[in-house]
Amino acid sequence: MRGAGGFSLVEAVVALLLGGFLLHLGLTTMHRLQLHEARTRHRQDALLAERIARVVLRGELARADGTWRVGEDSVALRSYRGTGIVCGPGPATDEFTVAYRGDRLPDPRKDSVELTTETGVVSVFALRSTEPGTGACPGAAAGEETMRWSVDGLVPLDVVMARVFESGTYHLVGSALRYRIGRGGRQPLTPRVWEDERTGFGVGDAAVRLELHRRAGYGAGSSTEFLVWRRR
Amino acid sequence: MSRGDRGAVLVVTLLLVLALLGLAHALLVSAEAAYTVSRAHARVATLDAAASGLLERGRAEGWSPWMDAIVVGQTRVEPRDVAPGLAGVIRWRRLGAEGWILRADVADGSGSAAWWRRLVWIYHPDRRVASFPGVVSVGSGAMSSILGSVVPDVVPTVGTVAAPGLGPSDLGHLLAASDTLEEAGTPGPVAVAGVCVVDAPWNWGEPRDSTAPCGAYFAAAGRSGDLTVEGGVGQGVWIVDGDVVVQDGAELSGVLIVSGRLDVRGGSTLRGRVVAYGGLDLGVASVIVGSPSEAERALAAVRDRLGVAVPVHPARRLGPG
Repeated sequence: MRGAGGFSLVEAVVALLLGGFLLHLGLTTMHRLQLHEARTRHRQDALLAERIARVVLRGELARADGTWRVGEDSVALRSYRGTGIVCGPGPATDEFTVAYRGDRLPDPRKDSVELTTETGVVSVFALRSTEPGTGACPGAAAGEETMRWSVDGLVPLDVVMARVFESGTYHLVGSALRYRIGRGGRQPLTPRVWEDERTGFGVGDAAVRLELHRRAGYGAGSSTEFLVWRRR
Repeated sequence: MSRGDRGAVLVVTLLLVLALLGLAHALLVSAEAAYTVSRAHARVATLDAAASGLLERGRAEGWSPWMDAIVVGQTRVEPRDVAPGLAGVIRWRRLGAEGWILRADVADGSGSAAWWRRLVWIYHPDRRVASFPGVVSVGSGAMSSILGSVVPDVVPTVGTVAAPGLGPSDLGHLLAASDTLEEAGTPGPVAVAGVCVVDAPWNWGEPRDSTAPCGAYFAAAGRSGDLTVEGGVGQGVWIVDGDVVVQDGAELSGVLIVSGRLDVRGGSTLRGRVVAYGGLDLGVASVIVGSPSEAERALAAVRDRLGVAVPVHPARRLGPG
């Protein structure tokens, strides 16, 4: 149709403009969605890290033996690994049989043993050897493993409980909470979400607090403080 | 618009409605997930608090007569009411004559559960009597003046203790569990119509006649502050955070634990075991007779009052299982 010929160009231009606008709209929306998704993921990471720090440190100090030391950015402690209920002496004075349950089996290369008597007297020994128990352990509950342990000293006569520990340190460095066994490397336990300078422990006479400040991109300006341990 | 294009509007509208429905559903799922997480947290916190409370309840209940029938290694399981919708169980696992693992488990109908446990100590009369180093036990460095006589039995007349108390049960634990004494008075049996009045503050039982109405009653009494016993008779376990004077021919049998000085004079007699942490002044004609059996009888008789479960490990959580 001759009279309608010029409309093709106009239509094409309008279609291009409209298409470009829609493309721009789509790309902008996608970019905003990506930003929002990243921000949500980072906030989620920060919340996860705070939850891990709270659960891990509170749990460790609640189960620890009281010999821990707290610095500005670290806690050095004997980290709990399991409990053995003593069910009898061994053939030697440095041996005894336990019904054991723990996070892992005891390892004489790195573990120490805290022995508690009936009246609450606590003493600490190096664990020398462990082997499967041969006899029955009266009263052993389901899930407890009967074992015979040997330590580097005289076992108290009225010992009733033996807890296994390994030496470790929790550090707040590199924007994350990290755990270090003995003199090994620092393994991160949380995502890297905190600002190192302001994040750390506050130590009082009767309590230990932890202050966590989020770094840029993870909700900077937001901080959390909670009680890790309190004297009772 | 040509005739054939008209249906497109309906299709586009339907697609738009579907997209909006999908968006609304996504928002609903997101809100539901947040609610589920919050509810799970609340449930965990509730169960944990309930288990901790149940453990303290078990600890406060302390000694019960059935405990003597539990052998080392054996566990006694006792169901307890906790709260609507929550089932609780207390487990007493015997580790020795006086050592127990006390564990409290709480579960709800959904299968979620929480538990707490502690190593606790409840005294056993035999063990406690055997633990006294002397008929009279004093603190290290405390000065004593003994003009009367101390009659020994299986232990020496005087021994040394590190602290006043009953094993890990210190004065605080013992005073909290015992009846409160007045500053001074004369003890004696009080019976009405042949029934011993155990609420009378100076009724400390009748040690001279076991068949009398108050012959089987033993006092479990204490005082924060000084105490003067002016004559009279009594049997039981006494805990005093202060100085004590026993005078005017008083006759007491059982266990007397004093954080300060003990002054026994005026021809008074004590039988059993004595802790005078701040030192002893024993006057002429007064006597302290060592008697493990009388000390044991008194400790056994008041176990339902003084036999609290004392936590003996510093850790708040002992770990699994």
